[in-house]
Amino acid sequence: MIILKDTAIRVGKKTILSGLNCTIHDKGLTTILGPNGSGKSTLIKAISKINTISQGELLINGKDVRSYSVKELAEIVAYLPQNTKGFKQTTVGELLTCAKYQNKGLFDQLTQKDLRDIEELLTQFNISHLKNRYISSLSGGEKQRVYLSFALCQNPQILLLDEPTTYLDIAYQKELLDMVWSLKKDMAIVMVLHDINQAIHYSDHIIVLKEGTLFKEGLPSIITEDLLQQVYHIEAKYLQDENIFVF
Amino acid sequence: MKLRTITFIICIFILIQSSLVAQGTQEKALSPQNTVSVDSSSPLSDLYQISLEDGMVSYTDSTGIRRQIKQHPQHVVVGYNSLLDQWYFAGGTALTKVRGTSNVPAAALHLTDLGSMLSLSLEAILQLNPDLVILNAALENQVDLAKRLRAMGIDVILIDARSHTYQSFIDTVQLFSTIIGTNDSNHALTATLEASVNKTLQKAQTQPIKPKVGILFTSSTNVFMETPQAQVGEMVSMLGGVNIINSDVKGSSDVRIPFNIEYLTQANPDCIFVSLMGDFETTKKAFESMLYTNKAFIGLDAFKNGTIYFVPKQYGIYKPNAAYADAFNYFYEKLYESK
Amino acid sequence: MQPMPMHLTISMKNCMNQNKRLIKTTIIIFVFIASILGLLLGTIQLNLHNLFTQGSMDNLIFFQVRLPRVIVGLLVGAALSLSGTILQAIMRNSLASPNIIGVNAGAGLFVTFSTIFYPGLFFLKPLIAFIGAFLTTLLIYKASYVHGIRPLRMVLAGVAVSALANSLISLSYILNPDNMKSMLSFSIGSLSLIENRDILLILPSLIIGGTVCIITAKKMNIMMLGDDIALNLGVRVESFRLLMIIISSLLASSAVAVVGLLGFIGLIVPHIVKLIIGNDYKDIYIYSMLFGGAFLVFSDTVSRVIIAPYELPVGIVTTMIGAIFFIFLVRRKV
Repeated sequence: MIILKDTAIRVGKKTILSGLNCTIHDKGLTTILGPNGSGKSTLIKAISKINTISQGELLINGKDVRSYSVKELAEIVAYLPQNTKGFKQTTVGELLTCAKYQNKGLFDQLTQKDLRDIEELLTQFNISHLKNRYISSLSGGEKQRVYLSFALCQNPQILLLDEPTTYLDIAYQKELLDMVWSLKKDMAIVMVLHDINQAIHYSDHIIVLKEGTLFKEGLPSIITEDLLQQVYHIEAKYLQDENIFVF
Repeated sequence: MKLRTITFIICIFILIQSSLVAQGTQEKALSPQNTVSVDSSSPLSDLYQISLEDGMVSYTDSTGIRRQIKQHPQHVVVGYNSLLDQWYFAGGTALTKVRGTSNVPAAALHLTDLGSMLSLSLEAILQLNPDLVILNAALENQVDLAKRLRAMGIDVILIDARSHTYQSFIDTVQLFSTIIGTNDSNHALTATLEASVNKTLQKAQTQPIKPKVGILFTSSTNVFMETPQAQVGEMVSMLGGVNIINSDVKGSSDVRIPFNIEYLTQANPDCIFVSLMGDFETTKKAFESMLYTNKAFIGLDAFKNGTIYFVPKQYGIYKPNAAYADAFNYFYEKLYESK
Repeated sequence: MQPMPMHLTISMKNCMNQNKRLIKTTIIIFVFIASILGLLLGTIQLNLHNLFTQGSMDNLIFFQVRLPRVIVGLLVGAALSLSGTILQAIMRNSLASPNIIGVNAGAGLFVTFSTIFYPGLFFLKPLIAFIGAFLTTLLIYKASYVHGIRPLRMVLAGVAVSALANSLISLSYILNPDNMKSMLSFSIGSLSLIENRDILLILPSLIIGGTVCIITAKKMNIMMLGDDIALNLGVRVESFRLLMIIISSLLASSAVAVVGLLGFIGLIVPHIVKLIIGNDYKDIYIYSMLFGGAFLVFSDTVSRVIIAPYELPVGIVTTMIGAIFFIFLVRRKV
């Protein structure tokens, strides 16, 4: 469970977000929406201790994120960045191995259980045959399966996905969101998306950010034509039968 | 292992490392200049405080340490050609010379090259099984080499001739001849030279007017002004010439200072000596094209009176050694006899 | 995309592993060959029969001149290569070398100043070089720390500080031309007067540096995925980076203290090793050390033999050989 109480988040010297109050539950899929620059990635990164909380509190399982050590937090939170440049020169197998090292000490080696976990995930995501391939040589669909298995390798309670659909075509986007949706019963997933309809369709909980503050949060039904006008300054029409917005 | 522990251990290691390094050598430090300062107008003093006892020559080197060298060495290696020249002048012979033809005595021209004076090969020296090695204290790699050889039990003489070149020449030859054991027979040779030089000096003393002199030294990239401690500066001062660089000038205790056109103009010397490094004609042309178009320079008395002299290399750049009598003569003529 | 046929993937895997094993073995053999050549070749021909005769010239040259030279060459080459490997990883910059953290400039500057102002201390030159190098790294680190280190910032700070230090050194040359010859010998870097005692100067740093590197190799693998991911996986990114910079400086400073300024090795050896060994930093560290040591010893032997009895400065040889080899490798693999 993630609780934000009057949270302000800063990046370097600048305060990007302030006055955040909301709760994200243990299981389920939460999507963060908002225009560019509203602070979506910043919020996600703060949950992973990448950005600093400058005011208020961000509690994870009852404890403020600042009092977690990096190692302790690593066992709870898994994060997939929008920019996956750093993965390019790694092989699939090496990537999953790195995921397993998160809670090891300096001298610890991988156990048999660790290796079995990796094999299981590879099979589950149908990427066993890609184990020795460089990630840069994979297709978009293969990559997203690899990234998700990398995240799951860390046995997270909280999964953070920063714009995971950005570089994918429609088919892969659907595939990814379906996979993520199937995981939500086991963990809390917090995701940043741009597509409003996808957000409504897949999420249990939506947080809308605007200009560094929390505009509104709640069930997907909070998204209305009015809200879209106020936040995005666009005209939208809601088609009730299909439960989608058209622009 | 916690980061703090690792950092702490590293700091300890750095301390241990540093103290190991600081063990360094047991020997005292060498200074780059003569620790003994001598007034160049006084009679030549016994720089090395040489004494001889039971076939062992004792002398005080330029760092103040007293050293012992066995007399009559048979296998001598010299790492610097002008020192080789002085060794031969003192009556000795050597096994090798180093790269270069200047200052190599005729009798040594046939010797094999040991290498470059800037990077002498330790192995090549050891192979010759020397009982005496003579090196130049002005070159740091030769100073390091001296340390290694002495640690192996080989006699090494480190000569520092960076300033007061004439005085150093006389005293070094005396030291060398004592070690070689040709003291008596060589003495005549040195005595003749000293007598000739002293005659010129006495002539100079009778001159009523002592000229103001500026001494320039040019390399391919830079121009310097020589002080009374430098090679030409020493001879000029001994002959009574007044160097425009007096003790008030910053850096006057060094051998040379950077060239300063304003200072030269203000001092306006009666004559100017110019030493040129590198190819004589090319450097002379470069010098002339650089300075003879400079308004301040051509306003100097020396330029107008034609008393700018380009010093022959064997007097200005290379050590005159045996030719010191001729060198003094040359400068005397230019100072007092060319009007 | 069709999954690849099973037998093809297995054979690919075997092929890659075999290749790697071959390369690793080649590097180890290179170490031995370089060492043997370094011991047997030199300005003079050794008489092997006299090698163990006490007091003979061959014995003296072999044990007092060549043996320490080869050992120190291996150790210094290893230290410089390891230092460069760490920096190229931490700075995410393949042009990083110990130069950019100010090691060479700092060492040169401190030694220049001490030669001019305290000429009496010149026998402490290794210590002064070491302190200068190390302090300069810390200065550059401090100067580039704003809410954490961004590698690019540190590279730029290093370039600026090095440029400043070098200009101060040039200034000193101009004001003190008589000291120039002695400064030149330090800035060219050579193994020519190495003795057995010098082994003690480099061995502790290499042991501690090498150990820390190998223990933290897994962390370094994770760091390669990106700062954010590494943080998320439990690596204290800032602390780790500082630790590795300190280790890198320790290694390079010790090397400079022993042999003077030797540039190219910390730059090209890590490149070459990464191109042929792969991505696991444990392997990269170990084989950088081995290859770097062998390379320096080999270059030193060439520098002594090629125009004997003259010795080329070993830095010139490492640059020439390294650059040619590197171009060849880059054309094939990049």
